[in-house]
Amino acid sequence: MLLLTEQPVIEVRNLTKKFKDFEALKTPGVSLKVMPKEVVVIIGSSGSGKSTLLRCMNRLIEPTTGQVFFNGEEITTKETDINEVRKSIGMVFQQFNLFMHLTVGANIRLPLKKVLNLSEDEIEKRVINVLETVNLSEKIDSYPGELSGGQQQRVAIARVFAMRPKLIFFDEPTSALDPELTGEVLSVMKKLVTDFHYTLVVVTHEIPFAKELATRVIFMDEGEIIYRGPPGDVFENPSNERLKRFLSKIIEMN
Amino acid sequence: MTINIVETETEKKDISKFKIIMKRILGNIRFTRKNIGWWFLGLLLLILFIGAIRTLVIPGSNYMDVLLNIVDWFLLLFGYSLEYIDYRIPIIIRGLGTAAVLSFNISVISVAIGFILAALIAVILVNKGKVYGLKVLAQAYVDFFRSTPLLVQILMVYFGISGISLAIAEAYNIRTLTAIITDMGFSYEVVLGTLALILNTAAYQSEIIRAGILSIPTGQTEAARALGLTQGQTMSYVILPQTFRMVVPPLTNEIINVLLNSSLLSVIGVFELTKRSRSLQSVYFLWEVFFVAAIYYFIIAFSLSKLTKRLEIKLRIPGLGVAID
Repeated sequence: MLLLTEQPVIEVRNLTKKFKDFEALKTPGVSLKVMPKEVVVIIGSSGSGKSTLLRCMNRLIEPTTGQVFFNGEEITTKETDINEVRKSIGMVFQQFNLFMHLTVGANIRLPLKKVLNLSEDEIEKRVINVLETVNLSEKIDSYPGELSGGQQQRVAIARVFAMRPKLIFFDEPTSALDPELTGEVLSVMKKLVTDFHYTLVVVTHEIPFAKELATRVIFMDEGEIIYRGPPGDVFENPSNERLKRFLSKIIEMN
Repeated sequence: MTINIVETETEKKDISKFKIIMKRILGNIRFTRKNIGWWFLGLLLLILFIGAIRTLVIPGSNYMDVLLNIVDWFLLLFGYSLEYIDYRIPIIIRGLGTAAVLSFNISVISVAIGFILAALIAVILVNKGKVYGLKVLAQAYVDFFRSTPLLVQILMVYFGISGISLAIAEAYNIRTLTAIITDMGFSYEVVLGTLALILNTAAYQSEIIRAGILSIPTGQTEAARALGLTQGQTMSYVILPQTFRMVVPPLTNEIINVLLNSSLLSVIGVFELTKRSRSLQSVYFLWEVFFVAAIYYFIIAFSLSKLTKRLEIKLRIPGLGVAID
């Protein structure tokens, strides 16, 4: 599937991050390549640096050392206009983070207008289109506070999707949801992969989702990548001791 | 019950219907701690309304006559005779009325301009950027005006600006600020007094707004930045609109504070409510002047607080914790 000549969408080289007294990403650093149309799932216990890695990749957190390349261009230099880069990197959060004072429609319109500077017609077309994709057309005038968690997360995905990014990060998109609501969010994510062939980097604990859609699974622990491989390899016969322990805990929980 | 015997069935029905309607109306009328202010305000408006009708019926009478009569009866309790006080009360109430309008205008203008200044200062203070001098300046301003008495600030602004402008005018042989402001048709004292109030309230309001900005979850900023909005856009389209809804209740406090603190402007000779009532008292020797002044303050402060309550309910965002009732 991957050609050698193909350029990675995003590439991370020796990324480290040190907070005041805590090394979230340990030296010598994390390295990672994400190819187009790949679905990379990152798993690991809390505090292992998954979210930090994700946030460092679009510089919501400034990495201490290391480089990030987006489409072959380094985005960790001082000269980079990070807002320009973020137009093509979407991010979906654990806590949805919809703008509470705006309706669902306005939430989707705001970045289209202020960041992409699209025309009114184009904006309306996209809003209707993405809300159809996530099956929430009738909620266009509702406020986020009036929606369920699953609906809010679908709107958050729609908001990112309307930007037509090259790559979407998901930071534990279903962790804050009730078990019966995770299904609707996962099915929207599945749609993004199967119907629109998006490149995704997903931090999640949803093993079935990872098994079904991931092209690659990365296991992180204590600030470093311990193990990486295709989902079959990781979930069926894990050869790493720490990964085994983690998986058995997750399975126990479910 | 005895009358009921002679009544026909339909009459009975009508009466019971009437009773039910009356019960519905009267059942809703309650006198509680929460609506006591409304009763008070309603009573005052009713008195003014009756007075207004009286001016139509009796030509030449004043629409505040009813209020005056009530004040007269009130004064009777304290042993004044009616003939003795009658002619002074209308002057007092009318004189204080114009003063109340001035007090109201000064405080509303102060709060409005102070709010714009405060929003700017708050944004500077929460900004993570490295415009260091600006931040220090803003912090020093807030600290100074919050840690010194308003009375001193008023005197400082009034005499300070007067003195400096006079010195400049003499040095460069130009007109003084006093002359310029007076030529523009404003009262010099009112302008400088309002300026002092603006400077004071801006410091307090900036802290209120800063706290409001900090109360917005960081996820909102994160999401906005991740979508590619710049720091300025995030502030103006995402954070501040939510902040302004959060800070309405504490700002109500500040509006009332400014209104009540505007009484301090009397020391530099602004003829607002307090100064006016003092001068009237010194002429007529009636302590009731201050009672009337207090009622005027009450009417303004109470209506303002009710108005902002309405605003608060109207601006409420579903799912964002502001007042619930």
